[in-house]
Amino acid sequence: MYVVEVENLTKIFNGLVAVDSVSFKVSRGEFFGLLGPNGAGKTTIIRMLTGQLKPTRGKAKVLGINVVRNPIKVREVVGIIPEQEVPPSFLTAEEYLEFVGKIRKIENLEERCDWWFKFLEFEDQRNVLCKDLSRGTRQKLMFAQAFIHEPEIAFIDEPLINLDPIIQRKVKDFLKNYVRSGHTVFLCTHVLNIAEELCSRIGIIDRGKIIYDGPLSEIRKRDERLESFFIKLLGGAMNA
Amino acid sequence: MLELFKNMMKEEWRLHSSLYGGLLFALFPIFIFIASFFISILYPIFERIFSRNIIVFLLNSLFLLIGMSVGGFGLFSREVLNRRFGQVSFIAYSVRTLPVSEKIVFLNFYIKDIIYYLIFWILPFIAGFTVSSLIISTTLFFSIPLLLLTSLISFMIGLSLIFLLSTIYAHSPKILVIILTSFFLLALFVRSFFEFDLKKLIPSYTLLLDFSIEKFLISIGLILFCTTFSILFLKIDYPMRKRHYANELRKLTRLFKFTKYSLFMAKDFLDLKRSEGGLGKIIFSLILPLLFSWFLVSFLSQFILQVNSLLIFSILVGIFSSTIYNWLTEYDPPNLYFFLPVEISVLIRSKIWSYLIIDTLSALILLTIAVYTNQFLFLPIALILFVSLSLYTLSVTIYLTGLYPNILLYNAKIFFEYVILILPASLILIFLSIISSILPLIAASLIPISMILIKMSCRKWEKWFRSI
Repeated sequence: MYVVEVENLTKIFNGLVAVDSVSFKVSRGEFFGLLGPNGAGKTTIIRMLTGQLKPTRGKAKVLGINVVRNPIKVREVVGIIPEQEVPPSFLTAEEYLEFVGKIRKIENLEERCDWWFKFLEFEDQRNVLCKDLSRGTRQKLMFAQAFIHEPEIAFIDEPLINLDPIIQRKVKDFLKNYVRSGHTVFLCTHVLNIAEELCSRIGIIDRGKIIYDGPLSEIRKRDERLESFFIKLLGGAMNA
Repeated sequence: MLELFKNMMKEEWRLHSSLYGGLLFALFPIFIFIASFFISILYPIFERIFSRNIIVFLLNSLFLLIGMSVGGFGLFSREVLNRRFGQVSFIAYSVRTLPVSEKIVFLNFYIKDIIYYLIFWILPFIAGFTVSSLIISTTLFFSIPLLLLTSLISFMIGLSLIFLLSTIYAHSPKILVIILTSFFLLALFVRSFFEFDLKKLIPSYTLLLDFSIEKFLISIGLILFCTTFSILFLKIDYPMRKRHYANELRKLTRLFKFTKYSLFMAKDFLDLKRSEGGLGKIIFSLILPLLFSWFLVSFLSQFILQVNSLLIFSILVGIFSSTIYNWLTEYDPPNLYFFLPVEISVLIRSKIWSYLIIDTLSALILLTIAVYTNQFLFLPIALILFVSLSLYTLSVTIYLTGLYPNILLYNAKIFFEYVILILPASLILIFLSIISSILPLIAASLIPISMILIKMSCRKWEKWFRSI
């Protein structure tokens, strides 16, 4: 069963085509990585799939919900880590997690908050104002808010940037287990070794067009590293 | 020093051009020129209605208020700008990375403000006045250079006064509250028992009426005192430390349980409480301007006997208190909610609830003035006027600017629409308040209009957010 279905999705900003007739599908239990250079259109696709941005053309469904018609419904059921961490300035880390939890009407909220503070090792920061937190801690907080309601699918945009290596390891393991337990992750990144370690399937986007979509195992079969494959492909696309 | 000053001027120019959009920003001095021209062309009419005292007082008050608002902006400008542009920093806020003392940097900042606003606000205003004075038949009772000088002095008094008060606030908010309360009580005492004209405390006022070197020196002395004190005792609160707070969200959410927006309201109140300025924002942006408006209204009512000062004041309070909505929307950008299942209409409605609660402060001021002036009889009508105008101005602000009043109200087109929707209603109510004490009750009809506008706004902004 597909949890993400995209057909000819297009976004044009003031005449600039950011996403150009993109079509793909993501199955339940897949770890899908959308890779591409800066400005390729990765974040725009995530924002359209999560009802944050209206597509200019095309169709998209997430968990069977039409993202254009029901953007709020989509955001209810998915977890999202936006590209830039944006916790509110004047709430503490604990208050922010509670704030999100209450919006999402989560039961046993306190327990879940405690778990996330412990798991991501920032219990000592729970009473600090979000604006005074370090970038890494803010990233932890954004990670926790995206998963606190245990969504079926999570859209995560560069989730590991700013995290120290120990927490990165923990987060990677968490994501692997999360997918193993039947959930789906849609990851956007340009850090290729993260995608190589985590993803089961990848899509590569350049200048708004998907130029590769396939399982990572296919690339491995060619005895090739993702990095060299990516550079070859992008080099080719750039020269074309 | 000169390099620093030049760069600060560039910074201010670029800041304004980014805030208001290049072309619109460049048109702003022309807008002031035209506005001043058309207002001053009515000078012969004003001169018949008002005494010279009033005209001079109004002109001085205008620039005093502009100076105060420019100074007040410094109190929480960084928050407004961070919201508008993301993480911004001014040269003034990055002094720690420069091999220059904080005092020198802030002195430059202060001088920059004076020169910048002289060029882009005061001079266009005076130019409009000058051109119209060539056309009108009546001769002005003051010279244009003197008007320029006193306008600049009024602006500088306003600016330096707020600079001084904010310096005191930075050291101790309590001392500031004590000073302001003592000053207020002293003014009440002097006004009640002595025949001292409190306006004389603004030296530029008497300067335009009757110029003398001593008055000029007193004005300059006041500015120098406020500035020197502020620079000498300058205290910058660098946001380097990590601020810890116990969980207050739960408590406040429970407190506002009577609405379904309690969670968002709790966040609004925490934003207000914990943000830069904190209590100072309420003092500088609401209480002080309202008291000043009362001072202005009670002064005018001495000359126009028919004016019911409480009713006129309630209209001003209603309009002015809508600025509370601007504070409530200045802390975090709405994109904070874009990835959460929250409708824009929920955010707007929660801000309206928070607004109504804070607006009780304005109602309290109105009540205090009614008690002080012994005008209980008019209090119900004054309250109806205040509530109606406050709701109406708020609903117009929301309709035109949604969750972005601090940005969109600076757009010339939107500001024009705002003025067109607010001004006639306010003028009609002022007129009705002058001719009758019952007719102003018609203001209540603004309440259902406001409700409709709020409904329309929710639909409009929900649609807008979905279309982006």
